[in-house]
Amino acid sequence: MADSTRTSTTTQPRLRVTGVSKHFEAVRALHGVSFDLAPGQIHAMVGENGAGKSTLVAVITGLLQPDAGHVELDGRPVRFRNPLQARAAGIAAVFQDPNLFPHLSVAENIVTGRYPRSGPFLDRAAMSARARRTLEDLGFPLDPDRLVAGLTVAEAQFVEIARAVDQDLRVLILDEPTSALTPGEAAKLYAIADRLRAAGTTVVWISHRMEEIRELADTITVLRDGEHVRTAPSAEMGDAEMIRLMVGRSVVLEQVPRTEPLGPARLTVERLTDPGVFEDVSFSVAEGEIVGVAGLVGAGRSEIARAIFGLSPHLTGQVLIDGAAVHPRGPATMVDHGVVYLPEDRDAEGVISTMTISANIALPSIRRLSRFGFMRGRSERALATRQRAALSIKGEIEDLVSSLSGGNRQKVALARWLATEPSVLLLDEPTHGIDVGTKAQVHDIMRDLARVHRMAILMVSSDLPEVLAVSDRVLVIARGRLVADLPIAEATSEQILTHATGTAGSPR
Amino acid sequence: MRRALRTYAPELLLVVLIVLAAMWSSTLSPYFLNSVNLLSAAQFFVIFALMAFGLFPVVVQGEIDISLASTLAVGSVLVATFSVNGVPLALALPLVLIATALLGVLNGVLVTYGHLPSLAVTLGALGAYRGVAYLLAGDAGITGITPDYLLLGSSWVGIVPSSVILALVVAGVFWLLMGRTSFGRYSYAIGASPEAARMAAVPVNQVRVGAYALAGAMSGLAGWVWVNQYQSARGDNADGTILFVLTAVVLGGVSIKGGSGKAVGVLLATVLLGTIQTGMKLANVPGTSQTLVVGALLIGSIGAPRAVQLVRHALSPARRRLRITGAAQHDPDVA
Amino acid sequence: MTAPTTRATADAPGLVARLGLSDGAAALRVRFMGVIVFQVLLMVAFTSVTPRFLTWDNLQSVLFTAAILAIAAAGQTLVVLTGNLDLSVGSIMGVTAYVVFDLAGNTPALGPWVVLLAVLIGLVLGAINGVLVTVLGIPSIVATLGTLSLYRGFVSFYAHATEVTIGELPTWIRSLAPTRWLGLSSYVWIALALVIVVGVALRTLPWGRRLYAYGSNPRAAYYYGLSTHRIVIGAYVGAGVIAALVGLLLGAQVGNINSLLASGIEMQVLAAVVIGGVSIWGGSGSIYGAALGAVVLATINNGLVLLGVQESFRLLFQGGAIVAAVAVDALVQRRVLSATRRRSVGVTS
Repeated sequence: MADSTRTSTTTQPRLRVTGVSKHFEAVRALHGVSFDLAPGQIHAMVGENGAGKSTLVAVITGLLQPDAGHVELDGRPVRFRNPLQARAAGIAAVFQDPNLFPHLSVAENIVTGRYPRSGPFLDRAAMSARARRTLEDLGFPLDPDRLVAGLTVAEAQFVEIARAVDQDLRVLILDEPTSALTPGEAAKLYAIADRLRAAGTTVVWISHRMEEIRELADTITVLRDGEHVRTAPSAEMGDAEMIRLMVGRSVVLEQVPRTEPLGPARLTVERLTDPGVFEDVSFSVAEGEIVGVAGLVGAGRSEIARAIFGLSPHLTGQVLIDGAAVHPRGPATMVDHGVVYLPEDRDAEGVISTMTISANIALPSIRRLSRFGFMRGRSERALATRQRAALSIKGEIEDLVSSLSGGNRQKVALARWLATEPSVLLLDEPTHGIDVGTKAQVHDIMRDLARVHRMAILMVSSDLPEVLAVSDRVLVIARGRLVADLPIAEATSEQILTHATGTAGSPR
Repeated sequence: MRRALRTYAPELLLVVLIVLAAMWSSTLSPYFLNSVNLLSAAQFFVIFALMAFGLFPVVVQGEIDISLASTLAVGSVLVATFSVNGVPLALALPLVLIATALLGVLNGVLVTYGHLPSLAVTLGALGAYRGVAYLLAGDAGITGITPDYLLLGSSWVGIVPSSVILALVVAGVFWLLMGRTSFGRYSYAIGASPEAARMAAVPVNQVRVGAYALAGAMSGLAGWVWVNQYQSARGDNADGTILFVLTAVVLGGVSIKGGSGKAVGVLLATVLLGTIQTGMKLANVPGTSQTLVVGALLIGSIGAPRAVQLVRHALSPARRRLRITGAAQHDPDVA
Repeated sequence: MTAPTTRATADAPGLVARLGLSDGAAALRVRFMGVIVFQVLLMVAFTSVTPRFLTWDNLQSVLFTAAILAIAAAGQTLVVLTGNLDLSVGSIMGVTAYVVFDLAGNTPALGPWVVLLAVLIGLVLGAINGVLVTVLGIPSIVATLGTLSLYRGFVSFYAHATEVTIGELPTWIRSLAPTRWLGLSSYVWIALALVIVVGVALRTLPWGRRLYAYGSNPRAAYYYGLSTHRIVIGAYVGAGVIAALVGLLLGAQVGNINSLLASGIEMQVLAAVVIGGVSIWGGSGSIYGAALGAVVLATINNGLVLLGVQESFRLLFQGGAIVAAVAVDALVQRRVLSATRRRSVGVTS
């Protein structure tokens, strides 16, 4: 296999990473990563969550210092102590969450830390002019004196890019840049990347979206488990091979056809509306059924699930559990009716990392486990032990959840709900950030819960293969509306994506 | 055994410090170690202990309440007013406790349902409730307390004054409350992660307001103890004592960020502070210097462990690494 | 500490929504105007009840009180902009006043150099606060509550329960307080000058912009290489120096300085800052707003006294005003923070 990790000696690599390693206590985030980035290219970096992409970016931009190895920029070794230094040398990164100062103007955000001066004072006119110029060059005119507090996510992202592009840029790293954008906005971003490439900048594009990578990338680098797997021109690496390299083995998420019949509808929602977020959503989930909810990020899927769980104060419409109308006043109300929700943000909302596994699992069941307000320690431990065994959680029940891997933490998050014996499960990105082995385990657990334990499961997921492998039906949400309800036999990736991007003829 | 030692390390440290402080105090005055004197000195700190226990669940939940001293004043003035107007104690005390609990509820409602920062709310309450106390007490304050209200100050169980017994009973109640009840478990969860607690169907709002109500009630109780001790009540009662109370809680191992701390720690810290302050009194240290020491202890109890951490970090260049923002540092999956 | 959570966008209750505020920027602007409107309403209300309020003499008195408070509020604003608090300002004032005037009385040769000494004291005490909060990571409430008593204890230690009487002060200090320039007290002019200087500095110096940036988003500030420790320590040093100057002014006005000077002023200063629209979460608000807040507070106090209202009501009102102001800020802050999370995908907006 042709080894493209080192570019030919005629063109000096823009960025050369050599033997970079980084570990955090016991975890090996990067190990001996070496490859080159050529100038004037769009270089895609792919890998599953946990592969080391974010850590590598942190090392390159100076947010972290590597334990071993070094980085060379245009042939010169560099060591940055913070991202500001990296940017002064021409390396900048833009992340998913806007890292902006909402109370300040767009112009001030763009020049933070490198204020144009006249004497000891800030030169506001120069600042505004420079910002305006940069934004225009990017093809995204925005009033530079506006406060960032008034911008949408897409606009904020463009301001971030403007901030990065502001100086002579040699390497621009974009981490999941289009996950929050509409197709129209994404197209603008592709144009910007193109323009930068033509100007000689190296654009590192980190993404999970195969179509994007296909269309844009000149070179693809695959990372897996903190190690460099392969760097090759895009033409020499097909999709199947890319996935195989990312995953390490040919994993195809298998469908397991359902033999058990469906029961009556356990969860029914009618004309659910949250003004500005989603509108007129109606569907039902039957006993024994797994319904997948697909759509682009920001379409409103999580918000629908959270609204059913009682987290939306402005909800109108009907929620029926086993045919009876329930007003989703809050999580406690819904849990009492047997509806539980597994949040997308596992570490902030799904588990309490500083508490033990046992305490986490028992938390929603405390009322049940206590008598006259007093907890019974023995029942708590028994409950935790039972759940740990049922879900194969790797750890002692007195261990802190923070010491567990992502997959096991998700199991704890799930266990605490299963302990309440729910009838409806609302899962939000249940296998996000989990290794493939545990992912398959979780899928098996889900099928078991639905088909054997007769639960009704609603699963929000951005992982299309997962949706196709696990669901009995697929709902597609686009721009806050339910645009498709497909039985699994009719659902394909293309179908779903077409509906999700609204190109199948949206209702408006 | 080793695990028990590790979980209780901060409390054991407090015990050691208490012993040291006692030894120092006894060198200052031969009268210190006399048990009768000790117990009578202990009476003085019952008020602080009660307020500290009231503050304890609030801090565990990750909030703060600096208005407790003002609530105490409202309580003491109410007690005195009831006494002077011939209301029997058995009726007056519950009413006062309800009233001060309601003041706490007001704080709690503003913080939880109003989504306001607890520091700002209780800062406002500190002034507002103090104003209420002054209003109720008038310029001269209230004297002439009827003897039936003063039973705490004039009764003993053996050689132990009954106010001290009260403090110990309250300590026991809070040990049970935080360690063994659902309220306690919910409190620790809320302090550790309010979002996750809410997602787990924990009744966050009610538990929060409950803690503030309890803090208010404890201050009201402390107000009654105050009246017992000074046989009078004025609008400026307990002004400025929040420093001592907060120090006792923090010194007792309750993290100011929430999520941890034990009742026994708060008790020990109060004893420690009391011992030190008694010693200072015996050494004729002026009042404001005593406050200086308490202030230094407050800073020291949080700052010293961090300072040690910093020094250790600085002395180990091989393992030096920059902090990164965000949770990525310990999450094996974010790489 | 509860922070305003960011929920779904359509989450603006009542007044804010009815004013048609579609973004955080407008909300911030309205906040500042609100203070001005409130001040005008106050003055109208008080004048209608006691016409004595609107006399030149009375307004002078209001301005005088406001002046001292405004300077102190300017200093506190620096710290609050970073998302912290400084509860020790009163103690810093006390320490400075006593030490400086004591020395000035004993060594008249020092002359105007005492001002420099005051600045030095404020610098050191402020720096200590800053280090405790940044390097040792002690939450600012706790740290400055501790230094409040630490510094106050130091004064009483130093003072040994004696006072510095007016006779011991050099003449130029003694004559400062009652001096009038152009009909207004010298203090008012000093306050005006200082507020303008600090306000302009915050707006035009990169140092000031970094302060706002840090307060607006500390995480991003760290990421972009802004030295967060230096920013916060700088804010505390600024607050300390300004507090020290206030101590001088207070001491000169009062005449007999004992170790208890300025105790308890923290709450008034904080009230002024908060009423004036400086957000307790940091990143928004201005010195001018804080100064305006001081004027509002002084007006309230003056009005209540004229109406013969008891002192205890003043405390009540002050407390209520703090809570009300923070409540409004919470609404504004939620607007500001939610905006950059808004998806352009969606049914409306």
